[in-house]
Amino acid sequence: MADEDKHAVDDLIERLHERVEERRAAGDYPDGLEEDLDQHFRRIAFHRTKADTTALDEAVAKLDASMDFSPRAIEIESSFPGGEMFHRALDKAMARQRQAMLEQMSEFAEVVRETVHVLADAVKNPQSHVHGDLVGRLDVILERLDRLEHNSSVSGK
Amino acid sequence: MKSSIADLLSIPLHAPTAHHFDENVKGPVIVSIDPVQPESRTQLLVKAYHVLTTHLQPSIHMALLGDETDGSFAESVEHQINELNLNLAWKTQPSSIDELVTYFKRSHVYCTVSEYPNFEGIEIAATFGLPIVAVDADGLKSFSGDSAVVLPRDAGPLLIAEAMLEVVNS
Repeated sequence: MADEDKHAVDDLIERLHERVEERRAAGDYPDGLEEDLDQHFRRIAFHRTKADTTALDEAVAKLDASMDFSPRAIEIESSFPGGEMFHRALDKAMARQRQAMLEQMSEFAEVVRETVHVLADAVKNPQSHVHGDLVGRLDVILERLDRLEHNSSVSGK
Repeated sequence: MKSSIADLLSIPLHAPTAHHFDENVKGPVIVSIDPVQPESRTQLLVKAYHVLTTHLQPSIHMALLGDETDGSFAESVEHQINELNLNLAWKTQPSSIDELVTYFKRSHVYCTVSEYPNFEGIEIAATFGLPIVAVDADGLKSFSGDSAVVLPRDAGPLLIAEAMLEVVNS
Protein backbone atom coordinates (compact mmCIF):
# COMPACT_ATOMS: atom_id res chain seq x y z
CA MET A 1 0.00 0.00 0.00
CA ALA A 2 1.37 3.41 -0.92
CA ASP A 3 2.10 5.77 1.98
CA GLU A 4 -0.57 8.19 0.81
CA ASP A 5 -3.25 5.48 0.74
CA LYS A 6 -2.16 4.19 4.15
CA HIS A 7 -2.46 7.69 5.61
CA ALA A 8 -5.87 8.13 4.00
CA VAL A 9 -7.15 4.87 5.56
CA ASP A 10 -5.60 5.75 8.93
CA ASP A 11 -7.26 9.17 8.80
CA LEU A 12 -10.58 7.58 7.90
CA ILE A 13 -10.38 5.16 10.84
CA GLU A 14 -9.54 8.07 13.14
CA ARG A 15 -12.61 9.94 11.87
CA LEU A 16 -14.78 6.85 12.36
CA HIS A 17 -13.59 6.58 15.99
CA GLU A 18 -14.48 10.23 16.52
CA ARG A 19 -17.90 9.71 14.97
CA VAL A 20 -18.62 6.83 17.35
CA GLU A 21 -17.76 9.06 20.31
CA GLU A 22 -19.82 11.96 18.95
CA ARG A 23 -22.86 9.74 18.49
CA ARG A 24 -22.42 8.27 21.95
CA ALA A 25 -22.27 11.77 23.42
CA ALA A 26 -25.33 12.84 21.41
CA GLY A 27 -27.27 9.81 22.64
CA ASP A 28 -27.63 8.33 19.14
CA TYR A 29 -26.14 5.16 20.55
CA PRO A 30 -27.89 4.12 23.77
CA ASP A 31 -25.73 3.52 26.82
CA GLY A 32 -24.54 -0.08 27.02
CA LEU A 33 -25.51 -0.88 23.42
CA GLU A 34 -22.46 -3.08 22.78
CA GLU A 35 -22.85 -4.89 26.11
CA ASP A 36 -26.55 -5.47 25.41
CA LEU A 37 -25.74 -6.98 22.01
CA ASP A 38 -23.03 -9.19 23.56
CA GLN A 39 -25.42 -10.42 26.24
CA HIS A 40 -28.18 -10.98 23.73
CA PHE A 41 -26.05 -13.29 21.60
CA ARG A 42 -24.56 -15.02 24.66
CA ARG A 43 -28.08 -15.80 25.83
CA ILE A 44 -29.07 -17.22 22.43
CA ALA A 45 -25.91 -19.32 22.17
CA PHE A 46 -26.34 -20.55 25.76
CA HIS A 47 -29.85 -21.83 25.03
CA ARG A 48 -28.60 -23.64 21.93
CA THR A 49 -25.78 -25.53 23.59
CA LYS A 50 -26.17 -29.19 22.75
CA ALA A 51 -25.46 -32.06 25.11
CA ASP A 52 -22.71 -34.55 24.33
CA THR A 53 -24.66 -37.69 23.50
CA THR A 54 -21.71 -39.79 22.32
CA ALA A 55 -22.10 -42.37 25.10
CA LEU A 56 -25.84 -42.58 24.46
CA ASP A 57 -25.27 -43.07 20.72
CA GLU A 58 -22.74 -45.83 21.42
CA ALA A 59 -25.11 -47.60 23.81
CA VAL A 60 -27.98 -47.44 21.31
CA ALA A 61 -25.71 -48.76 18.54
CA LYS A 62 -24.66 -51.64 20.80
CA LEU A 63 -28.32 -52.44 21.44
CA ASP A 64 -29.04 -52.37 17.68
CA ALA A 65 -26.17 -54.79 17.07
CA SER A 66 -27.42 -57.23 19.73
CA MET A 67 -30.81 -57.94 18.17
CA ASP A 68 -29.94 -61.15 16.35
CA PHE A 69 -31.40 -63.91 18.58
CA SER A 70 -30.49 -67.25 17.04
CA PRO A 71 -30.10 -70.89 18.07
CA ARG A 72 -26.70 -70.75 16.38
CA ALA A 73 -25.47 -68.68 19.29
CA ILE A 74 -26.19 -71.55 21.75
CA GLU A 75 -23.07 -73.65 22.21
CA ILE A 76 -23.39 -77.42 22.27
CA GLU A 77 -19.73 -78.31 22.75
CA SER A 78 -18.83 -80.00 26.04
CA SER A 79 -15.58 -80.92 27.79
CA PHE A 80 -17.16 -84.07 29.26
CA PRO A 81 -16.94 -87.35 27.31
CA GLY A 82 -20.20 -87.80 25.40
CA GLY A 83 -21.37 -84.38 26.61
CA GLU A 84 -21.66 -82.91 23.13
CA MET A 85 -23.87 -85.81 22.01
CA PHE A 86 -26.08 -85.27 25.08
CA HIS A 87 -26.39 -81.54 24.36
CA ARG A 88 -27.24 -82.26 20.71
CA ALA A 89 -30.03 -84.61 21.77
CA LEU A 90 -31.32 -82.14 24.32
CA ASP A 91 -31.14 -79.35 21.75
CA LYS A 92 -33.19 -81.38 19.30
CA ALA A 93 -35.78 -82.35 21.93
CA MET A 94 -36.20 -78.75 23.09
CA ALA A 95 -36.08 -77.16 19.62
CA ARG A 96 -39.78 -76.20 19.50
CA GLN A 97 -39.83 -74.61 22.95
CA ARG A 98 -36.49 -72.89 22.31
CA GLN A 99 -37.75 -71.41 19.02
CA ALA A 100 -40.90 -70.11 20.73
CA MET A 101 -38.80 -68.53 23.49
CA LEU A 102 -36.48 -66.91 20.95
CA GLU A 103 -39.45 -65.45 19.07
CA GLN A 104 -40.91 -64.02 22.28
CA MET A 105 -37.51 -62.60 23.22
CA SER A 106 -37.12 -61.06 19.75
CA GLU A 107 -40.53 -59.39 19.93
CA PHE A 108 -39.80 -58.07 23.41
CA ALA A 109 -36.33 -56.86 22.39
CA GLU A 110 -37.76 -55.06 19.34
CA VAL A 111 -40.23 -53.19 21.57
CA VAL A 112 -37.38 -52.29 23.95
CA ARG A 113 -35.20 -51.15 21.04
CA GLU A 114 -37.94 -48.93 19.60
CA THR A 115 -38.61 -47.45 23.05
CA VAL A 116 -34.91 -46.71 23.58
CA HIS A 117 -34.73 -44.98 20.18
CA VAL A 118 -37.73 -42.79 21.03
CA LEU A 119 -36.15 -41.90 24.39
CA ALA A 120 -32.74 -41.20 22.80
CA ASP A 121 -34.32 -38.91 20.21
CA ALA A 122 -36.19 -37.08 22.97
CA VAL A 123 -32.99 -36.59 24.96
CA LYS A 124 -31.08 -35.33 21.91
CA ASN A 125 -33.79 -32.94 20.76
CA PRO A 126 -34.32 -30.17 23.33
CA GLN A 127 -37.54 -29.11 21.57
CA SER A 128 -39.19 -32.42 22.44
CA HIS A 129 -39.39 -31.74 26.14
CA VAL A 130 -39.50 -28.71 28.40
CA HIS A 131 -38.09 -28.11 31.85
CA GLY A 132 -40.47 -25.25 32.59
CA ASP A 133 -39.24 -24.73 36.14
CA LEU A 134 -35.60 -24.46 35.04
CA VAL A 135 -36.37 -22.18 32.09
CA GLY A 136 -38.30 -19.81 34.37
CA ARG A 137 -35.49 -19.68 36.92
CA LEU A 138 -32.85 -19.19 34.22
CA ASP A 139 -34.77 -16.31 32.67
CA VAL A 140 -34.99 -14.55 36.03
CA ILE A 141 -31.26 -15.09 36.70
CA LEU A 142 -30.22 -13.94 33.22
CA GLU A 143 -32.36 -10.81 33.45
CA ARG A 144 -30.83 -9.97 36.84
CA LEU A 145 -27.35 -10.59 35.44
CA ASP A 146 -28.08 -8.35 32.45
CA ARG A 147 -29.29 -5.57 34.75
CA LEU A 148 -26.24 -5.87 37.02
CA GLU A 149 -23.80 -5.85 34.11
CA HIS A 150 -25.61 -2.93 32.52
CA ASN A 151 -25.63 -0.92 35.77
CA SER A 152 -21.96 -1.61 36.48
CA SER A 153 -20.93 -0.62 32.95
CA VAL A 154 -22.94 2.62 33.21
CA SER A 155 -21.59 3.52 36.66
CA GLY A 156 -18.04 2.65 35.55
CA LYS A 157 -18.07 5.33 32.86
CA MET B 1 -6.67 -18.94 -9.29
CA LYS B 2 -6.37 -15.32 -10.42
CA SER B 3 -7.38 -16.13 -13.97
CA SER B 4 -10.38 -18.18 -12.79
CA ILE B 5 -11.54 -15.36 -10.52
CA ALA B 6 -11.18 -12.88 -13.37
CA ASP B 7 -13.27 -15.25 -15.49
CA LEU B 8 -16.17 -14.75 -13.06
CA LEU B 9 -16.75 -11.33 -14.56
CA SER B 10 -17.95 -12.88 -17.81
CA ILE B 11 -20.46 -15.23 -16.17
CA PRO B 12 -24.04 -14.08 -16.84
CA LEU B 13 -26.50 -13.34 -14.05
CA HIS B 14 -28.49 -16.16 -12.45
CA ALA B 15 -31.98 -15.16 -13.59
CA PRO B 16 -34.01 -16.16 -10.45
CA THR B 17 -31.51 -14.46 -8.12
CA ALA B 18 -31.41 -11.34 -10.29
CA HIS B 19 -35.23 -11.34 -10.27
CA HIS B 20 -35.20 -11.62 -6.46
CA PHE B 21 -32.91 -8.59 -6.26
CA ASP B 22 -35.07 -6.64 -8.72
CA GLU B 23 -38.27 -7.37 -6.82
CA ASN B 24 -37.20 -7.36 -3.19
CA VAL B 25 -33.95 -5.53 -2.71
CA LYS B 26 -34.37 -1.77 -2.64
CA GLY B 27 -31.17 -0.32 -1.26
CA PRO B 28 -27.47 -1.02 -0.88
CA VAL B 29 -26.33 -4.58 -0.13
CA ILE B 30 -23.49 -5.74 2.09
CA VAL B 31 -22.23 -9.21 1.23
CA SER B 32 -19.96 -11.68 3.01
CA ILE B 33 -18.91 -15.22 2.16
CA ASP B 34 -17.02 -16.18 5.31
CA PRO B 35 -18.29 -19.52 6.69
CA VAL B 36 -20.94 -19.05 9.36
CA GLN B 37 -18.88 -20.26 12.31
CA PRO B 38 -17.44 -18.86 15.56
CA GLU B 39 -13.99 -18.22 14.00
CA SER B 40 -15.62 -16.00 11.39
CA ARG B 41 -17.30 -14.02 14.20
CA THR B 42 -20.52 -13.91 12.19
CA GLN B 43 -22.30 -12.76 15.34
CA LEU B 44 -20.11 -9.61 15.37
CA LEU B 45 -21.01 -8.91 11.76
CA VAL B 46 -24.71 -9.21 12.63
CA LYS B 47 -24.27 -6.90 15.65
CA ALA B 48 -22.56 -4.29 13.45
CA TYR B 49 -25.31 -4.61 10.84
CA HIS B 50 -27.90 -4.17 13.60
CA VAL B 51 -26.20 -0.95 14.74
CA LEU B 52 -26.02 0.23 11.12
CA THR B 53 -29.66 -0.36 10.25
CA THR B 54 -31.20 0.44 13.63
CA HIS B 55 -29.22 3.57 14.52
CA LEU B 56 -27.71 4.90 11.29
CA GLN B 57 -29.35 3.95 8.00
CA PRO B 58 -32.24 1.47 7.91
CA SER B 59 -32.52 0.65 4.21
CA ILE B 60 -29.33 -1.40 3.86
CA HIS B 61 -29.50 -5.14 3.13
CA MET B 62 -27.03 -7.84 4.11
CA ALA B 63 -26.46 -11.26 2.53
CA LEU B 64 -24.44 -13.89 4.38
CA LEU B 65 -23.39 -16.47 1.81
CA GLY B 66 -20.90 -18.58 3.77
CA ASP B 67 -21.10 -22.32 4.32
CA GLU B 68 -22.80 -23.32 7.55
CA THR B 69 -20.07 -25.57 8.91
CA ASP B 70 -21.33 -25.39 12.49
CA GLY B 71 -25.06 -26.14 12.56
CA SER B 72 -25.62 -25.09 16.16
CA PHE B 73 -23.78 -21.77 15.68
CA ALA B 74 -25.59 -21.09 12.39
CA GLU B 75 -28.87 -21.68 14.20
CA SER B 76 -27.82 -19.18 16.89
CA VAL B 77 -27.00 -16.58 14.22
CA GLU B 78 -30.38 -17.22 12.60
CA HIS B 79 -32.08 -16.56 15.96
CA GLN B 80 -29.93 -13.48 16.51
CA ILE B 81 -31.05 -12.07 13.14
CA ASN B 82 -34.70 -12.88 13.86
CA GLU B 83 -34.74 -11.56 17.43
CA LEU B 84 -33.07 -8.31 16.37
CA ASN B 85 -35.76 -7.96 13.66
CA LEU B 86 -33.19 -7.61 10.91
CA ASN B 87 -35.69 -8.12 8.13
CA LEU B 88 -33.32 -7.02 5.39
CA ALA B 89 -30.61 -9.53 6.31
CA TRP B 90 -30.60 -13.07 5.06
CA LYS B 91 -28.45 -16.14 5.17
CA THR B 92 -28.19 -18.38 2.13
CA GLN B 93 -25.75 -20.63 0.33
CA PRO B 94 -25.55 -20.09 -3.44
CA SER B 95 -25.91 -23.44 -5.18
CA SER B 96 -24.12 -22.43 -8.38
CA ILE B 97 -21.32 -20.16 -9.48
CA ASP B 98 -23.67 -17.92 -11.48
CA GLU B 99 -25.81 -17.43 -8.37
CA LEU B 100 -22.71 -16.41 -6.41
CA VAL B 101 -21.65 -14.09 -9.20
CA THR B 102 -25.10 -12.47 -9.20
CA TYR B 103 -24.77 -11.70 -5.49
CA PHE B 104 -21.41 -10.04 -6.07
CA LYS B 105 -22.65 -8.11 -9.12
CA ARG B 106 -25.67 -6.81 -7.21
CA SER B 107 -23.89 -5.97 -3.94
CA HIS B 108 -22.26 -2.72 -2.93
CA VAL B 109 -19.85 -3.58 -0.11
CA TYR B 110 -17.95 -6.72 0.91
CA CYS B 111 -17.43 -7.17 4.63
CA THR B 112 -15.38 -9.60 6.71
CA VAL B 113 -14.73 -9.52 10.44
CA SER B 114 -13.31 -13.04 10.55
CA GLU B 115 -10.26 -14.07 12.53
CA TYR B 116 -9.39 -16.14 9.46
CA PRO B 117 -10.75 -14.15 6.50
CA ASN B 118 -11.66 -15.85 3.28
CA PHE B 119 -8.98 -14.32 1.03
CA GLU B 120 -10.66 -15.72 -2.05
CA GLY B 121 -13.81 -13.81 -1.10
CA ILE B 122 -11.80 -10.61 -0.78
CA GLU B 123 -10.19 -11.24 -4.15
CA ILE B 124 -13.57 -11.86 -5.77
CA ALA B 125 -14.93 -8.68 -4.19
CA ALA B 126 -11.95 -6.70 -5.50
CA THR B 127 -12.44 -8.26 -8.94
CA PHE B 128 -16.05 -7.05 -8.98
CA GLY B 129 -14.94 -3.62 -7.79
CA LEU B 130 -16.66 -3.85 -4.41
CA PRO B 131 -15.20 -1.73 -1.65
CA ILE B 132 -14.13 -3.87 1.31
CA VAL B 133 -14.61 -3.34 5.03
CA ALA B 134 -12.53 -5.74 7.10
CA VAL B 135 -11.29 -6.23 10.62
CA ASP B 136 -7.56 -6.83 10.72
CA ALA B 137 -6.31 -10.42 10.76
CA ASP B 138 -3.04 -12.14 9.94
CA GLY B 139 -1.87 -11.21 6.45
CA LEU B 140 -4.97 -9.21 5.62
CA LYS B 141 -3.40 -5.77 5.20
CA SER B 142 -0.71 -6.97 2.83
CA PHE B 143 -3.24 -9.03 0.86
CA SER B 144 -6.01 -6.48 0.52
CA GLY B 145 -3.73 -3.62 -0.48
CA ASP B 146 -5.42 -0.24 -0.78
CA SER B 147 -8.79 -1.70 -1.75
CA ALA B 148 -9.94 -2.24 1.83
CA VAL B 149 -10.76 -0.27 4.93
CA VAL B 150 -9.00 -2.48 7.47
CA LEU B 151 -10.17 -1.72 10.99
CA PRO B 152 -8.16 -2.56 14.12
CA ARG B 153 -8.42 -6.11 15.47
CA ASP B 154 -10.40 -4.95 18.49
CA ALA B 155 -12.99 -3.07 16.41
CA GLY B 156 -16.45 -3.43 17.91
CA PRO B 157 -19.86 -3.29 16.25
CA LEU B 158 -20.12 0.51 16.45
CA LEU B 159 -16.86 1.16 14.61
CA ILE B 160 -17.62 -1.53 12.04
CA ALA B 161 -21.08 -0.05 11.49
CA GLU B 162 -19.59 3.43 10.99
CA ALA B 163 -17.15 1.98 8.44
CA MET B 164 -19.97 0.21 6.61
CA LEU B 165 -21.97 3.45 6.49
CA GLU B 166 -18.98 5.45 5.26
CA VAL B 167 -18.25 2.99 2.47
CA VAL B 168 -21.90 2.53 1.45
CA ASN B 169 -22.38 6.29 1.15
CA SER B 170 -19.06 7.13 -0.47
